[in-house]
Amino acid sequence: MNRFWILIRRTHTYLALLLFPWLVMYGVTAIGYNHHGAFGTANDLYNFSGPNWTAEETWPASFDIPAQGPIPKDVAAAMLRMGGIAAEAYGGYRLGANLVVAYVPSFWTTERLAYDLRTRELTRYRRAFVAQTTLTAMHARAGYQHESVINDAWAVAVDATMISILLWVATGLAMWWQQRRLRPAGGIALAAGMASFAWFVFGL
Amino acid sequence: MRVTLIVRRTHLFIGLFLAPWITMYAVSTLVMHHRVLFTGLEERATPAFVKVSERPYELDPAVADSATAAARRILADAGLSGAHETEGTPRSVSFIVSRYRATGTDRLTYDADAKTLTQERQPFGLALFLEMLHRRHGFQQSYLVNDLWAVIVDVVIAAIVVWAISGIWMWLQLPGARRFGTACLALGSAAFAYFLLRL
Repeated sequence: MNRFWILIRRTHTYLALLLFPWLVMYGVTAIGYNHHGAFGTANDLYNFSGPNWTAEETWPASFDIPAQGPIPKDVAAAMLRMGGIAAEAYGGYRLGANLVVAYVPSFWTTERLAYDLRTRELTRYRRAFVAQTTLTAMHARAGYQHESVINDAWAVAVDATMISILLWVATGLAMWWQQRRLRPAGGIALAAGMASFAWFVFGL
Repeated sequence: MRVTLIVRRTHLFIGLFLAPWITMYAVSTLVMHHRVLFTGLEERATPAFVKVSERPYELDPAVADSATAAARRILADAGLSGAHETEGTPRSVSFIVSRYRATGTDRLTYDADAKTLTQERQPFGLALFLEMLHRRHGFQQSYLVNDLWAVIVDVVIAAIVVWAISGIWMWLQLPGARRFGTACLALGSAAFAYFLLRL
């Protein structure tokens, strides 16, 4: 085996070992999407009156909320400060006509600060642990939109995993083609996969 | 030796069969993760619907009281049976049936007063195509092809676990790769654990 093929094999192996936890995580957490309810319900994520939510504290408050459009980050930051939550990554969104919510993405805890435009009160809510939320939070966690080194680092790991998957496919195909005896059977497996995929694309 | 051969072949052939899915998941993730780079937009790119036709149509009264039955009938009559969602009620002036497809969604609007059916179609968009395939999952739709796709999603999940375990097995058969491989595995695991504790 010449040096080129050793390089291909080692790249395939070492990338897999380095990114092993991310690969397994993406596989396992996908169960949470494909089997709704298997790990608890996430349906009450936007319903603070649901049984999983607890209102911990309420303060009189006044925030300068634009009449429409996205919630500015400095408003979400001010809400978090008043609520006593320190975070590098956060954001805000509207929930119905009367609530503005500040959130902090987290794998393990779900806290929200909801500002009621009618009563001018800010309430901190905490949600009980729901495994479904943790699984989907890990699977969907992106990055780069927060000014935070650790969030950027996670986003780099996401990109590295996806690029590695493409490299595993490419190097896997190359290594298969090197094994002449396996070309017919492998060709059938590859063609069957491609035909099935194409059938789904047009049939779904 | 025989076990190692089975492990190697399983790793390879599952990989070859599922190559289109795993490639789609990786490419679509990169597109979603860098929307601005690929589409110039911060939100999902959704090509505007284009009107295809408007024709006289009267919904069978036998299904007009059920949005589910009415939607299935309208889709069947339009030759578009498949995964869909509805808005409104069949007896209103705007009962919308959206037939979701990765290659371009069809939107059918039934007007019960005018007795017309309008069909609009979303042109193909590569970013939306990839994202819709990526997000397609679950057993909620009552169509066989959707259930089969959900089964394939489960197969991909199982395959990822099989690749991980069989990959470790094959690596352990390579004495020359153990030291550097252990360093890679330890580094990756430590980094992942750090993220789990901090994020």
